[in-house]
Amino acid sequence: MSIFKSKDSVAVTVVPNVLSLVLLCFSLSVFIPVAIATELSASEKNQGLGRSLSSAEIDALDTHIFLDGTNLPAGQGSVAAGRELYSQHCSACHGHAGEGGSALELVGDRALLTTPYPDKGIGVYWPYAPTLFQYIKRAMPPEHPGLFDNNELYSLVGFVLYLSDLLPEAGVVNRTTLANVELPNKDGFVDQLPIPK
Amino acid sequence: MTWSKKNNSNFRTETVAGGGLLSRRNFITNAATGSAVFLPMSYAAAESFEGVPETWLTKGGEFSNYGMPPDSGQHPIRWISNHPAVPGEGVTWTPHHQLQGSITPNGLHFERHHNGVPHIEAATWELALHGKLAKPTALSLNDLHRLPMHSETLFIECGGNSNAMWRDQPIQTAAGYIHGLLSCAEWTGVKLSHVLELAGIDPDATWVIADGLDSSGVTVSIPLEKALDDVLIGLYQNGEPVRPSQGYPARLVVPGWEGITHVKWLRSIMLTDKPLMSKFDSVSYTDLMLDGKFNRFSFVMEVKSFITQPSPGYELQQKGLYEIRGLAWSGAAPITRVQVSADGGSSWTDAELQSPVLANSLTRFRVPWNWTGSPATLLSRATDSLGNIQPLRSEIINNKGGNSYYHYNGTTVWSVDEQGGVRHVYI
Ligand code: HEC
Repeated sequence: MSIFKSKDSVAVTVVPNVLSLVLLCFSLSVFIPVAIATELSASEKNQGLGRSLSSAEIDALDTHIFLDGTNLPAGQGSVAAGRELYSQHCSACHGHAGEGGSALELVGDRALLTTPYPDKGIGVYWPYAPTLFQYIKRAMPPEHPGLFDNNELYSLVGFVLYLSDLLPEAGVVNRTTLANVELPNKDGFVDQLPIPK
Repeated sequence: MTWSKKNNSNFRTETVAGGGLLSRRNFITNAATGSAVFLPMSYAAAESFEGVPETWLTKGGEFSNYGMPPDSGQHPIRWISNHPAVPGEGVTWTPHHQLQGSITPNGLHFERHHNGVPHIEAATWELALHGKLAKPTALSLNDLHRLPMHSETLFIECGGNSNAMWRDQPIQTAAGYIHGLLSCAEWTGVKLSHVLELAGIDPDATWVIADGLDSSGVTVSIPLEKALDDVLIGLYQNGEPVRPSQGYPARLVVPGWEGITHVKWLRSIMLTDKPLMSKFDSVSYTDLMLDGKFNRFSFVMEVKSFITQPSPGYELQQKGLYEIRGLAWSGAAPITRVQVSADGGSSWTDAELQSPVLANSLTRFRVPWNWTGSPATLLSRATDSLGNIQPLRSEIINNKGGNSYYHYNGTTVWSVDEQGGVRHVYI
């Protein structure tokens, strides 16, 4: 039973199984190691369990892009370059101008939010542009997530924002631009917090 | 009881007695007409064995390493709804109209994947704990297995379950195809609070950000308070290791909260003092209200129930005695009461609740019913121990509008016509 293989220093007690079980469990371990961690204090418990992450590993993990732009990478792109990339890699599913296709629209009309037929779209219900960077980076296109470098991602995000009139056609797109874009639905939420009891 | 599936192309045709079991007669017919499980007789039985069941006279099928349902086309299956251009983006539905009890078999547990099921090597897998922790730590599967385990029987419901109920017209399909993004299993694993305490929680940490190893970018923020209360790192489902399609080697299990928080193929847990506001926190899984605002962090799956039998696809073949059966649950508190009406809500009776009634679990309810042959309008309404009462559909639509998409917990009404046909209706 490999799960009980112990290659480190944690204290384990071994207790012999009752005879009848030993007889029944001829193909299993005769001894059941019992982790006694429950009786120890929090700091003692950690001994031998898991390994410490190195600072390089922590840096590699700490890549979530927060709404204020924290962790947006260096690099920059342009709406023009984004247009090219979008027509090649995105338009087949999301439509040439983001109007939607087999996948949902990226452009919509906020005025429809209170009608029976509301649109989706970045300008309709997305609150933060940096989130868009993180999502496209990780998930799009679905066939090849991870296809684009950061410059290309800035271009794509820039073009998608431009489609919703949220960025001008000219100029560069980088972490400062994205952190400064204010999306129309930023304040369109009612947080159901604190969590109900 | 004689409910049978209608011979209608919308439904898989099958005869069901007692809500899911094949009748004895069918069983013998199947066996005799070449079911692969039973070997043909190669000798004539002695005269004294005339008239006995044929299975007495035939040696049975082989043992198998992993038991499988009969290969008869009669067994309940999940239906798949996925994206035409992105096959790994979609769902499978638990066929509640064909199941009984309250535990969902592992092979029928619903799935919601955003870009397919990743293949993960358990031997090299680690869960990384970082952020506002004294000792950022990586735990292997071996490490997790050495920690104290805990089991709980819990439902998981997708926030988008029952979203067809927001439509203008009642959808005509099987109950499991409306409400089947809901399942219930015994989950066993290690308490998230335990591993976080091992790593030493910073006093100013307030949120947990969990992400998965699949290629869809699923990343979810959960208040630390919940994480320390009852969240599990799920390693076993109904006693066996969590299957790849359910998040192997480890997934979060977040009792009573919407499915998206139960991150599968767990990769990392980061402690922070603010939510990430990922697409999965702040775009998807937010609920559009009448005033054009979106409810965000609407985590709790609220009190709800529906009738599983009879339901669309069943046909009542005779007047007389039936048992109305269904499921009730609440992510807020244990179910205390399920009322059932056969006259569209004019009068109600309390259904019997199958014990044990567990918090954050599915509760089976049943009530006997004499069908007189005249039209009937069936619905159920659940209450939990906090006094939350499942709203009527009309109440939900009046309060929230029709655009919410997520978190439908209103009533579902089945109408039985004079021929015994069952349809979905709004009242
Ligand atoms: C093969 C079809 C396909 C292609 C190509 C594709 N997408 Fe998508 N996209 C989808 C699907 C499907 C979803 C919904 C995924 C989900 O909800 O899990 C989606 C979701 C999105 C979203 C989130 C929309 C929202 O409001 O939730 C954005 C933004 C997006 N895609 C951008 C892009 C970009 C940029 C590209 C090109 C690099 C791209 N997509 C290429 C299918 C596609």
